[in-house]
Amino acid sequence: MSEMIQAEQLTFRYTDFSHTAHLALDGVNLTIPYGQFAAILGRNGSGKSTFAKHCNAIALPSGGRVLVDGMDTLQPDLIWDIRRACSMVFQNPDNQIVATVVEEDVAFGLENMGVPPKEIRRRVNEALHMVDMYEYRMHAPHLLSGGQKQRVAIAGVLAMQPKCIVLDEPTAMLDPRGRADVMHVLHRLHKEKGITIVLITHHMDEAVQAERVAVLDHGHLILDGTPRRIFVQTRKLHSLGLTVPQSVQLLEALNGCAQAGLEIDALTVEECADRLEVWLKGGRA
Amino acid sequence: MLRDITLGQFFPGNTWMHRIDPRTKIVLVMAMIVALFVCSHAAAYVVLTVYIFGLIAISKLSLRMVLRGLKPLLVIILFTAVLNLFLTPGDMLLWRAGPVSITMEGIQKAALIVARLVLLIAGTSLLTYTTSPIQLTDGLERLLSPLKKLHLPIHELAMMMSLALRFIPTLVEETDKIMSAQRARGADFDSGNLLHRAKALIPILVPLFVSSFRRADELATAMECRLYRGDIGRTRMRQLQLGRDDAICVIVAILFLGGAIVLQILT
Repeated sequence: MSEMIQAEQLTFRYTDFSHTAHLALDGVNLTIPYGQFAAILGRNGSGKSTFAKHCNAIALPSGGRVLVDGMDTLQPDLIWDIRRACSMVFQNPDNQIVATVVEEDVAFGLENMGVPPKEIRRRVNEALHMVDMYEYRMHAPHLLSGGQKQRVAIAGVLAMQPKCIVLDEPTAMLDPRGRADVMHVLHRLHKEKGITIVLITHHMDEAVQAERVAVLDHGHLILDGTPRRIFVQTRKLHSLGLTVPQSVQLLEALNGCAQAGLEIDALTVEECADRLEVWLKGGRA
Repeated sequence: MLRDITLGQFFPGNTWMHRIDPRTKIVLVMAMIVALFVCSHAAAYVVLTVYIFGLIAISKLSLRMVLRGLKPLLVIILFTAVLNLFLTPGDMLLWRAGPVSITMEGIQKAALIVARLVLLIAGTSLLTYTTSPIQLTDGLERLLSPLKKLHLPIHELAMMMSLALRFIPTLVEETDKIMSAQRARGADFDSGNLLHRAKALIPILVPLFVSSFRRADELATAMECRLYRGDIGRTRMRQLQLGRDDAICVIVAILFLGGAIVLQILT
């Protein structure tokens, strides 16, 4: 049984302008099974974007290999099948929208695949409904907000019916409202369509919503596990240049200054409030 | 100030004109251009003016919008009009000062040039205002597709055109942003002589170029991710189909354009 994405000893070497060799990825072993919502975290230069580019053969390994849906990305004749199985959404929505009308942009991938016109129309409408952008189908993309543009970009890859969508910091250029909308859409695709989601991000509150978090640093896989197990390792995360969710920060600070003895693995505001309530009531009693 | 650029911009709508096949519109615009250059008589121009502004009215385009498209070419229009006005030799001399003179012929010629250019721009912008760039390039691609047999890269050219059109508003926005950023650092674009102003543009053009290249690179990657590999095995969501409306449109065009040319020949 193959996995959605399987990186084995993945190494990526590149030389910069001064001809010095760098290792962006150094022996990364990471397997993402079908249907998982995985977040990949890391500071700038950690290799997380490079990893994303290996998931649909935009970048090819210098060492090791990557299997996408069981297909080796190093085999040139599989490249188009790999990209069909695993699509990618980039950070800047402006630079991935090809057409001047929303629905024509969503149709672009399907036109490239040679899908018959009627079927294109059906899938475009369905994809636009999935991302709540159907009312905007005749709009010009440059008049939409960042979050709306990014949802159009997601619809564009969704219409191609991939098994997996890799998103490289899709919310980095968005306002909080746009971020929330995009995250909502991603969860919907994951739950309703069973699409594997690989979310590259540096927003902790987004990573918290994933089923699994992998942390990269200097091209190495440092941490890998459920958000609950990752985010309690506050000291380790800080040393990697990452923050932890505010709820965890708060509980940890209380433990430090008030010897509260709280479990700090509260990932959401609600969980955190519950813990505090129990503690405060217990304190009074 | 940069937001005034409307030349070559599409205004989505659902009028009769919007629904006409782009191939029909392209061919008719070319016919209109030919008619404008063949005709020079006032009566013929009245017919052409009625035709073009009638179509603009049907398309529910505001006259202001169409006229705004003239703005970038205003200098050229005025320049040619003035040259024609003063430098046309003729028998009906009205005014003279050294080598320059105003003749009746000059006035007629200047008026003709202005009318010709204004109608030319209004008529062609009617095409770009009512046809989405993708439809436009689609239409061009189909019209020119016989040339593919000669191994001319028609699809690639059409794609480049539609991408260029797609990025006009994005780059205009970016230029605005860069200008504001430079202004905030004390750059002055509005004073000094021409050379000084041209020099002041360099700090705008350099970052604009750099970011355009970066955009192009990212766009190419994104297109590859969406399985773009040129013309191979591509289909279209919108199928182009000539219908009854196209026939009506062609008949109306033949009546007006043909009428204008007939008037020109007869008078």
